Amino acid sequence: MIGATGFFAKKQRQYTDVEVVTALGHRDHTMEEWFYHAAKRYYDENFNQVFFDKDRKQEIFQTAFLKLWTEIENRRIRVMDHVICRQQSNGQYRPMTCALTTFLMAFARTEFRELVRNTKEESYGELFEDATFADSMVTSFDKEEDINEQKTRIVDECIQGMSPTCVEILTLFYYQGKKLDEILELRKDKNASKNGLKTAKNKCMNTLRERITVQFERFHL
Amino acid sequence: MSEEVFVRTEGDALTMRIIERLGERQRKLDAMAAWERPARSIALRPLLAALAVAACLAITFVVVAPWKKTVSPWDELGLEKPSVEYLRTAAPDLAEIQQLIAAQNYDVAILKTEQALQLSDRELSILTDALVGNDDEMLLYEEELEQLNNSQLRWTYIYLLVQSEEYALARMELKKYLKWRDCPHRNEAKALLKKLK
Repeated sequence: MIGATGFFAKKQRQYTDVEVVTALGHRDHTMEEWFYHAAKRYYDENFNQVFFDKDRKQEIFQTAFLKLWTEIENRRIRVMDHVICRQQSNGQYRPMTCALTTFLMAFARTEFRELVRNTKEESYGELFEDATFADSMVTSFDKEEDINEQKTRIVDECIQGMSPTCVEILTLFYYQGKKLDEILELRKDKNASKNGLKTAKNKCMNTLRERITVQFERFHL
Repeated sequence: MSEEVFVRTEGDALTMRIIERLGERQRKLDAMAAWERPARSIALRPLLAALAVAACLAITFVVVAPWKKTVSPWDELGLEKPSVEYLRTAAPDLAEIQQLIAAQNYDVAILKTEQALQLSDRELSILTDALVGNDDEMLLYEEELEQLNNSQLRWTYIYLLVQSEEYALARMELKKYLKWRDCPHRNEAKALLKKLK
């Protein structure tokens, strides 16, 4: 159970992980906000062994939380028979043997490790499959899973695998509909020229499309 | 498709799906930023008050303190106080030691650092042993963090030893400190060792 701690603990309602996953799967905004603050409190209390400047700490939390939230919303983490399960790369769901907050901390530690090593982890999946699932608790694979849902999940994971710069440029150009000049203005210290920005934008989009296409083909989607 | 601005009607199905997911990601980031705003402003209030008090105290010390003009061993040897900026992986112990140093409670700080360093040395030795013939990712990560922590503790210890004018011990610790290839104050440590010889 995730609960509020500290002075106001008794006044706040507490929710189980199952309730959180169910509500987030239904995009319950009140629960989203509650879970954010509960997870933040847990993170602040338990991520003390690695402290550095506040912005980096916050950045690590937000990246880890975004990943966890996306997994729940995309039903990679979901409730099956009142048990929280997570889907593996082979499509099978297995019960999670740890709490959501523990899982969040694992994401955060990986983010921190990347910061220390200054390298991007290739895949989170492999790291956690061994660490957090018990072999004896395999449940049946949901073969009727919506193809659309699978595609969404793949696109999200490929976006998460891109560099923050790429994601920012693509969001500004494609989602927010900004002109190249406007993006240049917003990111004036990061991109020297309009041509450079144009090339970066095309390169990022092509790489992302390529990665998604490969994954779609891999899963026959 | 225009190179200057994206026209939505020109996007194919995959592009539109990517845009939708980029938008969803942005929605989450915006929501998190909004949830942080009130929390931050409330959380910052005591911090700002504390900073104001600290600033007043600092000004008082700078203007009034008569002992300011005495030269400490740190000044003589050109050693800067370990700053929080580089303490990226510090243990809670180190935070406490930092506070003790800030309060000029050096005797307790040095004791606390010795204890923390002993524990860290032991932990590091266990991890190093466990890694013989083992390339477990998690263990490697733990060892890396402990090595950083150990190095930061030792650098703080050296700083405190210099303050206590325990130069022989400081020299010994400097040699240990320099054994780790990636230690963050290598040049400073080398220069200090030279001065202490």
